[in-house]
Amino acid sequence: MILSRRQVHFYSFMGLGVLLPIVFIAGLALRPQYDLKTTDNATELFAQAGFAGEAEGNAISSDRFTVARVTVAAETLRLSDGTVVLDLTPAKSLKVPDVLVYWDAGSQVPEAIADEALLLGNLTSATTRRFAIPTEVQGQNGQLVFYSQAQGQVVAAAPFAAEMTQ
Amino acid sequence: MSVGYKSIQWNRQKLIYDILLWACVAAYISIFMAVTKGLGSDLDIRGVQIRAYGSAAFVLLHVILSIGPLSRLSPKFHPLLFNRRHMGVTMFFLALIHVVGLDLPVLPLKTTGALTWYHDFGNLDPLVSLFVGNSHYGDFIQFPFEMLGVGALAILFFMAATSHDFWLVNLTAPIWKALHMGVYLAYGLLVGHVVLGALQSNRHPGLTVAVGVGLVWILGIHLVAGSRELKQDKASLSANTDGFVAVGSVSEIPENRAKVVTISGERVAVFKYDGKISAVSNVCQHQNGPLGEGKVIDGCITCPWHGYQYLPDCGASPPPFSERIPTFDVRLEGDRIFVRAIPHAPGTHVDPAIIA
Repeated sequence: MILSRRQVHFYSFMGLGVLLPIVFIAGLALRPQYDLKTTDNATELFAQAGFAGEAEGNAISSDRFTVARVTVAAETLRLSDGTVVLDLTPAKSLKVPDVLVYWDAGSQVPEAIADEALLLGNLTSATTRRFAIPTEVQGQNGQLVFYSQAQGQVVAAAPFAAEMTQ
Repeated sequence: MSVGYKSIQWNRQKLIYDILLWACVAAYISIFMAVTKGLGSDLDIRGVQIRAYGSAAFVLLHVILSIGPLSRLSPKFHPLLFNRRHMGVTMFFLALIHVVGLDLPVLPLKTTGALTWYHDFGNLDPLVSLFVGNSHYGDFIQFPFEMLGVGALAILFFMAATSHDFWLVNLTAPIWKALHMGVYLAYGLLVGHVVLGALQSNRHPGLTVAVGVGLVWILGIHLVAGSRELKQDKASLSANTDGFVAVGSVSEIPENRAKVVTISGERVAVFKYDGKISAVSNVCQHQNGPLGEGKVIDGCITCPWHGYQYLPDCGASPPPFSERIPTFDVRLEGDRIFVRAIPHAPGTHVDPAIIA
């Protein structure tokens, strides 16, 4: 190296020699005690959040529709305890923030969420999410309404026939 | 220009170097995965893969940063310099896999990246989540350490993209070297990334000790090598009234080797060969390597870093190559060597001093 580069090298490491040990020691001295969840707890938390777990059931029906230009696969299942669930799997991450999924008795795309609409849960990323279908909805014709809570508007609606839940 | 060196094509040395490099990387990742899975059966394999690639990149960066100062301290490490750029590019790709994972149709190996693992559980796009997920920029311990990694990755990308000799030739070695000194900043950012990231959640003393030892090692050898260089630079010789500098005696220079002296702040290599003495700039035109630590092979001064060659009496590379370095007038008085302080233009022929 030429002289100026040698000087840059040396003084760079003089600086790093002062800064990095401080960062290292301070990083160790100040690190907080995190309450880390165990794997079992994490599994439980994921189940509570509606992520589809390993529990399988008997498939009832399936469908496919589009939400904000993303194809979403829908499958309904009857679990061993009799619960009817709906699994929704977007083909890729939705480009719409805070999407909530409602069941609505209507057949037209609503401008707003009706008071009678039932909230099923939220839909995120490209992960399969599982929604429990309430018994009063099972066997009824209706539609799934996708509502962006952040944008405050309905972004899509898809028919949800009675055959999907019976 | 060089001994058996081809600037573009692969050669045997590069292939051996790279095969060894990639074998070591593959062995490290395999051992890391096997040991980690052996220690904890409840660990998710995808999380282990992220740590394996991240730590492989960090370890390889330590190796890369060790080669320079080690080769300054001992010529035994010069062979490691030969293809160090491939190490750097490999390190960049390991870091990239750590971030975005690996899923190529042509490769059977697939891994999950930290971007998916830590940022794909919400409504936000993972890349957006990465940048907005943690905004504690005013807090030291909660500082978004991911941003330090992003900064380092950007520097490493720039370095990998400009690592080819095409950029070296077109930017010139001093500018190219200056830009590639960004690796020091990248190292600092990555130490911060590890200390404020992995070391916050992983309290295993082994990890803490490993990071600490690595830090002390890198800072230590760079400061030792750097201070030695600085000391040598300060021992700069000044010219007599006739413009010549006494640089030592003929007997202290081994045959086909050189003595390196500092004249007016820059280094000059004084070579002894075939009963003659010639003085040239110590700075190779390729990567500014130390020519005075090389030797005369086939009548040419050969750089110890990459084998670039120059004729000792004119400082020009033998045809068809076109590199040129400055030359100096040389005079002998008995056994004593005198070198003129002001250099000639690169490639200028200077009659060597004949040893009586």
